[in-house]
Amino acid sequence: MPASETGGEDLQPIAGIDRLIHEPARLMIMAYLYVVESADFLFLMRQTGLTAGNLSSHTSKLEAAGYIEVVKEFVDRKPRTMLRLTGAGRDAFREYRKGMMQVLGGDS
Amino acid sequence: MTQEINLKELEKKAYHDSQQDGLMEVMMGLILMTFGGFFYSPIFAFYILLIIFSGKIVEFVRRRYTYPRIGFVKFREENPKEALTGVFLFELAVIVIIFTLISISGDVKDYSLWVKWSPLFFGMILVGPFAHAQSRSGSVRYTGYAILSVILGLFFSLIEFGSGCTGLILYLVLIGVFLVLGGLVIFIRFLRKYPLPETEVRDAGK
Repeated sequence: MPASETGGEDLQPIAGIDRLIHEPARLMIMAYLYVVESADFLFLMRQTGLTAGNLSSHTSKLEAAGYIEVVKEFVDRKPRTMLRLTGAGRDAFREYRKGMMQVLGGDS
Repeated sequence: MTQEINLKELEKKAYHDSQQDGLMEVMMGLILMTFGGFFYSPIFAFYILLIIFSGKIVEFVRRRYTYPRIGFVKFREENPKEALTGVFLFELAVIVIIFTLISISGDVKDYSLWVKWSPLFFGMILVGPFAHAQSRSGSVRYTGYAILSVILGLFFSLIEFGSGCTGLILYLVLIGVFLVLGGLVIFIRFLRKYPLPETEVRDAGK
C-alpha cells in the first residue's frame, strides 16, 4: 500500500507491533498476568472467558515465545499450575502498549 | 482492541473477583464480635487468636471452597511504606476528631467521655480498612460498610447506656453480626454462582 507522506509515518509503528501479543485472546492473557504476580489456569479462564482448550493453546504459544512461564507447585499435596509473565514478557507487553498508544493515542 | 487497556481497572477487577466469596467479611465480623465480647467478659480474649490466625483460617476455607471454583491468584505486594503512612495519617485524623469532640462536650480527662465516644471512635477506625478494600477492589459494598460503621458508632455513642462499656459492646457485637451475616449471604451466593467445574481444570495442557 503506497504510504502518503503524513499517513505512512503516523502509522509506521503498526508495522512493528508484536503480532504474538496483538491477538485478542493473548492480549487479554498478557494484560491479566501483567497486573498480578501470578495466576492459575482456572483464574485466567474465569477472567478471560476463554475455554480451557483455547487458553491452553494460547498460553503454550506465549510460553514458547518466552513471554510467560509455567510453574508447578504443590498445595495440600494437590498440583497447582501457576502462570506468570517473564521479564521478557513484561518488557514485550510494555513495548506493545507503548506502540499502540503511539498509533492510537492521538485525537478522539 | 483499539481501546487502551486500563490496567488499573483490570487489577481492580481481578482483586474484586478474588474477594467475592465474602470470607473476609465473615472473619472481620467474628473478630469484632469476640472483641466486643471481651469487654463483657475476659473469657472472650480468644479474639486475639482469631486475629493471629485469621489469615490461615480464611486460606483454609478458600482452598476448599473458593479456589476450586474461581482459581487462585497472587497479587503483587503493596508498597508497605505507602500503606503504613496512609494508615498512620488516617488514624491520627480519627484521634484528633475524637479528641475535639470530647473537648467540646466536656473534660478530656474524664474517662467516661472516652468510653461514651468509643463506639464512634471504633466506627471511624473501621473506615480505614474498608476504604482500603474499596480502593483495591472498586466494590461499592465496602463503602456501605464504612458508612454503616460510622453511623452505628455515632448512634451508640449518643445513646445513654448508664454505665460501663455497654454502648461499645453492643456496637461491636452488632456490627460484627452484620458483617458475619452479610459475608455468609455473599458466600452462599458465591457457591451457587460458581458450581465446581465438572472436570479438573488445573493444568495448562501440560
